[in-house]
Amino acid sequence: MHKYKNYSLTIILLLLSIVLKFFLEKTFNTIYMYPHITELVSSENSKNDMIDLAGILLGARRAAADVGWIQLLQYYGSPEVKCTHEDNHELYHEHLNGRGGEYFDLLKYSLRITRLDPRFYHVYLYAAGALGWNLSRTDEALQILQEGIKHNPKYWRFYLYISAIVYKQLKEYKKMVEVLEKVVKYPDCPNIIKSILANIYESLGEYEKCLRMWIEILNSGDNSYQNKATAKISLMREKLKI
Amino acid sequence: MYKLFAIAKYTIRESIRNKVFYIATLFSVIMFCVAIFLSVLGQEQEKRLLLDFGYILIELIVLLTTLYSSATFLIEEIESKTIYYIFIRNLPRWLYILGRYLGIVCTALISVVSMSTVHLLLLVIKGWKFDITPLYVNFSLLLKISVISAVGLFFAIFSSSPQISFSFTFFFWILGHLSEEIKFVISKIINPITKFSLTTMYYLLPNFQYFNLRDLITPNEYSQLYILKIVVLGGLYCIFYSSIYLSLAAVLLSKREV
Repeated sequence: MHKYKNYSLTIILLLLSIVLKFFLEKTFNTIYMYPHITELVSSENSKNDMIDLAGILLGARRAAADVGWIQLLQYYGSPEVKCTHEDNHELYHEHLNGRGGEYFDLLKYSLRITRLDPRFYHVYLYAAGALGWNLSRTDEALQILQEGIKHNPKYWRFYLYISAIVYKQLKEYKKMVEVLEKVVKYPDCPNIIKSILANIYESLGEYEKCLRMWIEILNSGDNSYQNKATAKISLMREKLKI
Repeated sequence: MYKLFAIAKYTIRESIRNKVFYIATLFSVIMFCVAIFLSVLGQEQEKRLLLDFGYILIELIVLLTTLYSSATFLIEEIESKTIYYIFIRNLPRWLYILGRYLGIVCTALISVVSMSTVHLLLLVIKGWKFDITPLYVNFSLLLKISVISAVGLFFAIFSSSPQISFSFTFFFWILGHLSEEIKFVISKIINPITKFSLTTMYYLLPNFQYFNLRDLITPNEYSQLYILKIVVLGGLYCIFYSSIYLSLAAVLLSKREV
């Protein structure tokens, strides 16, 4: 009788856990918004795929997305390799003599991160800035922002970036600058967008606004822009004769 | 009650004096340095990377030490027959299991508190604005570790082998994180028998995503009351689920000839 009493206790606890799981699921389903494993973007690099899978298996999707972010910065921050020839339907690359490049896989790198962690807002904004302005691939920029809206419909800054890109496509540069000026006021605005606006000011001859923007970028403490910001500030000071 | 705390205290002492604990401490110092280096590579997202890598590091180190403790202490005591000295004193088997469990969870608590203090200190030095989210995240992590400790103790008695217990418990850990994927697969299956089997498996396995607050909540996104509700429900789930495996472990131990 005593041993059956122990098993009956286990069964009661199991039933209570299952009932509690029903209640937890209702609460949980409103906050769990990760795409499933079938929606992950493969980077065609088995090592990266293993990192993504490990992140999911260990319940560390954010950490896996962070590793993806480092890899994206390394990809975009390095002189790109150009596709030169095919071998067994795979594309091999050669260096472009130390200069920049097309960064064909930038969207793929970004989607890989956002499918792991859809709330990594910075990636959407950074990729949109790079694709929309630096690489002039506005369709891809809009695609990454649409992806952001799909997973985070309440994050309204995506709509702001879309409007700026649309104005760029329609060549309404004045309205585009007005939207970008709103965008850079927010603390989560990536430095890439600020640098884009600074370059636009420079091309329009608005050196004072350009100088202010580069000082703001320098003060953000972002090491990747330190040298460029310092050089631009010196240049603007020369032009303004201050 | 006194006996329960005595066993728990003895388990904590045993854990802290164990070489594995010192190796884990040294390893965590090294890994924190790696985390700082990696976070610098993240440029504008340095604080986010340091936060995330710190969380995952704390979880992995505490998981490994907990798996080791739950897999080895009980089995070693049974094999060396020193467990006889405990049961001679008319100690109920369930009390012994509960004491061991409390000791393992308290050791995990000490590890989590010490590592998260260092983690938060590093973040504050980097200019991170303090908010209460890490406290919820680390508490949820502790709840997850509590469940896996109970599972580990069950497998330790069930298998009588530290290696098998360690492996089974680790796979259980992974399965617990795949609950949402299992739910997704269930929604796509048409065959009723397969659907029923998978649904049963889904409800029998713990869903560790409930305790993964680091992946679920971002500061200022949800109200404190809502986060507290998730934590309280998670706590209740942890208590019920741990009790299932602890009661099974107690039943198995009472059937064993020790």
